[in-house]
Amino acid sequence: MSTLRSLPLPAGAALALAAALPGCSSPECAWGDYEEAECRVVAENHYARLLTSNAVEVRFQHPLETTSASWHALGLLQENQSGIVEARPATLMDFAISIDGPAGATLTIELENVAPDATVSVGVVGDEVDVPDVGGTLRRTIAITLADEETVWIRGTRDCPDRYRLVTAGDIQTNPLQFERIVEDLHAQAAAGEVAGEPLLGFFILGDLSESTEIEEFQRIRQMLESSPIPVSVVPGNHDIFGDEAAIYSRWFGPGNYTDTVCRTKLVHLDNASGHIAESVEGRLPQMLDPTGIDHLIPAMHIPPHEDGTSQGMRDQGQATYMLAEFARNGVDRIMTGHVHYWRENADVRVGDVSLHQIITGTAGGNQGSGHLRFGVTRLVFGGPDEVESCFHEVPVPGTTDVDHGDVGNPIDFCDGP
Amino acid sequence: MPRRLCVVLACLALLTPAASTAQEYAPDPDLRPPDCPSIGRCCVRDTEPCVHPGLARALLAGTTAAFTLGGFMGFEAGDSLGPMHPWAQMMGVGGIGLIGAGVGTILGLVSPRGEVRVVDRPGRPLFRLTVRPGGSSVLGESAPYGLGLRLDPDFVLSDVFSVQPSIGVSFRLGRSSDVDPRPQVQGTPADDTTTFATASTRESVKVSAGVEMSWRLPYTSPGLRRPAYAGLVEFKYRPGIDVRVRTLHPDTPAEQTVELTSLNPMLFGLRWHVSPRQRFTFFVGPRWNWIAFTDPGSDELRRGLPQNGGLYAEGWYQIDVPFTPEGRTKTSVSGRLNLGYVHDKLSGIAFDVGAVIGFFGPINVSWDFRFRRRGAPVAVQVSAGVWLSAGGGPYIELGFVAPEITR
Repeated sequence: MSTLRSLPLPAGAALALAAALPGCSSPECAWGDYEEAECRVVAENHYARLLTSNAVEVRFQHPLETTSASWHALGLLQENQSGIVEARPATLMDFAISIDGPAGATLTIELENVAPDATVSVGVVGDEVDVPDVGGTLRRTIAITLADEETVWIRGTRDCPDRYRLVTAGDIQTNPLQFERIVEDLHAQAAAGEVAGEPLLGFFILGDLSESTEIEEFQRIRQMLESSPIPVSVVPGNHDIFGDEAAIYSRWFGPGNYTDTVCRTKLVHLDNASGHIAESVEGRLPQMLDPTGIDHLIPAMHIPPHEDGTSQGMRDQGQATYMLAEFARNGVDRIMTGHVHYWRENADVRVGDVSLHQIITGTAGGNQGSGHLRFGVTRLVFGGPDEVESCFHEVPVPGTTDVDHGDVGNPIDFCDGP
Repeated sequence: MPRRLCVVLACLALLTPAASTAQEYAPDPDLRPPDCPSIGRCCVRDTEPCVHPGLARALLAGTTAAFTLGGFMGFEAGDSLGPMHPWAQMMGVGGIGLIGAGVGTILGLVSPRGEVRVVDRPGRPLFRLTVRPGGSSVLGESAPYGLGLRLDPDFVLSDVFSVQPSIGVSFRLGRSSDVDPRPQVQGTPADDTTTFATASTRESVKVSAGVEMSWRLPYTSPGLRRPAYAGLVEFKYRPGIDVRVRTLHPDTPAEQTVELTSLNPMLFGLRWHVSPRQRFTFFVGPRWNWIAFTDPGSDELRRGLPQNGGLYAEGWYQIDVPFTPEGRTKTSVSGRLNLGYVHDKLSGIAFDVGAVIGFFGPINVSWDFRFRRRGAPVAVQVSAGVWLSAGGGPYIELGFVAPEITR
């Protein structure tokens, strides 16, 4: 009977342990587990500012920001072994960087991922000079000597056409060589866009750049993107973050939760690689999705918030439901996702009295099993208010004969021409 | 004796109660039927139809192994899951059957009193109260305790048919809150333990209702031959509905309520009694979801049409364990080990492995104890379990067991 008397012991011990847990609490992400979505929020904000070896403070700012008191997670800053600051804006269009430091300090900044047609200026307010592009590449190099206490600003701006294009795809993973073909194909697509009067302004990647969260994989993809004719933005996927205790993704590609205003289109990048978005980002969703002043609203993330009956959606379907409700409330035009390795369009995702439009483009190189192989990108064409067109542009593997033919049971809306 | 050693011994005693208590009483009668050379090759005593647990578990293991492998091959063949593809469900439910058969075999072998039916085994109590621990490991955040209440009356309408309606509600005892960890963001700190501002708070409640109907199938049905001695099978039908309401208070005036209604009108299942003490149960069926939401400042929910909610499935392996000799103690105690898989991510918990995120639902491991005074019509049931999943955690339950209602 002594055994019986001890029965409540495990339950009591569990309760006591649970009650004691709050006493062991620590600040958010004190232990640096970057597989957790909230830790990547910490990392993306950390890497958007930099204190250099000669005590110069460099910060990414919102393009409309006029003071350097704070900063925004809109890019990636690192100082390399040569003392050169590498700055990679995460935005496709406008960007701003503030620089403060001791008078006389010098700094060389290498900008990457900046559109060749962008106007880049540097200097204190009222005394800016333009920085020429380098032979049509995505790089600019700027040498700065700080003269006094005034903040030096680097700003990039681009002109907005009436109609314009963006392309997107996710899931490079096991076939980066095929992704290299997709990047090469961007040159033909950019030229075709100019001819059509719809310039191709940027490429946003929907996660899973790597298969195993290895530095070499991220390094290779970032090198490939240097040969792109247009800027590229990125969100992480589940294959980019697992087992990550060193913020590897954030150190190579910067932020995953931010908004980017591309002319009259607001691209809302959301990092749901952990199967959910960070709770702090969930709290900011109404602001991030605010459609004031823009014509088109496009959230971009890796895992589809609408599972579409596939069991391959976000881990937290309760949060996915909230996201869908926010998308519906703010009039999202397209939900762009990857994760599932095929192209699939659902133009009738019912959320309350609203019908949303979700497109899965997991076609950037990842293994597609034994079905029809479809590699390529989704092209979005933006015109006037509420005028958004989408189609799939195929970039076939060599040796393919079945190009631009629809799959049975999974109809594909192919683009006409490059 | 050091206190820690006492605790360890007490736990060991819990794990091997039959062995430790059986010696206090007269030995059990011979469990073998007359003319039976070995307990492993005979029908289990007092069980109709005759079942050979070893054979039944081998059949279950083979079947569920085929399902698990089939699910894996189906997923590998397509690399991704298409709408209504059952591969993840097959792997999850099949895996539970396979693991359960293995654990059941071991417990069947080591059990000193064979596999005869456990009298007054744990089941669903008439009323139960569930407590989920709260607390957060993050400074400035709060996660209140969760509470669940559930009513499951059991109507036994004949020897072969029973009905068990159920209704339940679960909620958090307060608002949960999360901080915004961006160091450059200024705001009102969540509390005096951190400088981070509160990002959002939320409340949630879930109401569920359904009815489970069970038919005991004849051993051999017309057109359906089953292997001999494989055990009793019940057919089950369990339509149900869940309504989850979540209210989020983001760091703006834009409070929003989202309601997710999930309907399972065609949830069918089987329960296979591979031994009088061991059962494998699964359910599968399509699901439809409705999402409704409010606008800021409005209480009116914007409702619309349903959408495909995918294929719901769950699988359970349950093993009864007797703790006291039958009818020879003032209080009878029986236990039950439950291993389960639920292919459902609506509660925000899922079993993730490495980069495999969001494919599977949660796994449950739990233990029930039932206590009944000899001759008493009512009993008490205490349970403890854990959802082995991201977003899961432990829970305890206290249940009140009433007599089943018979016609």
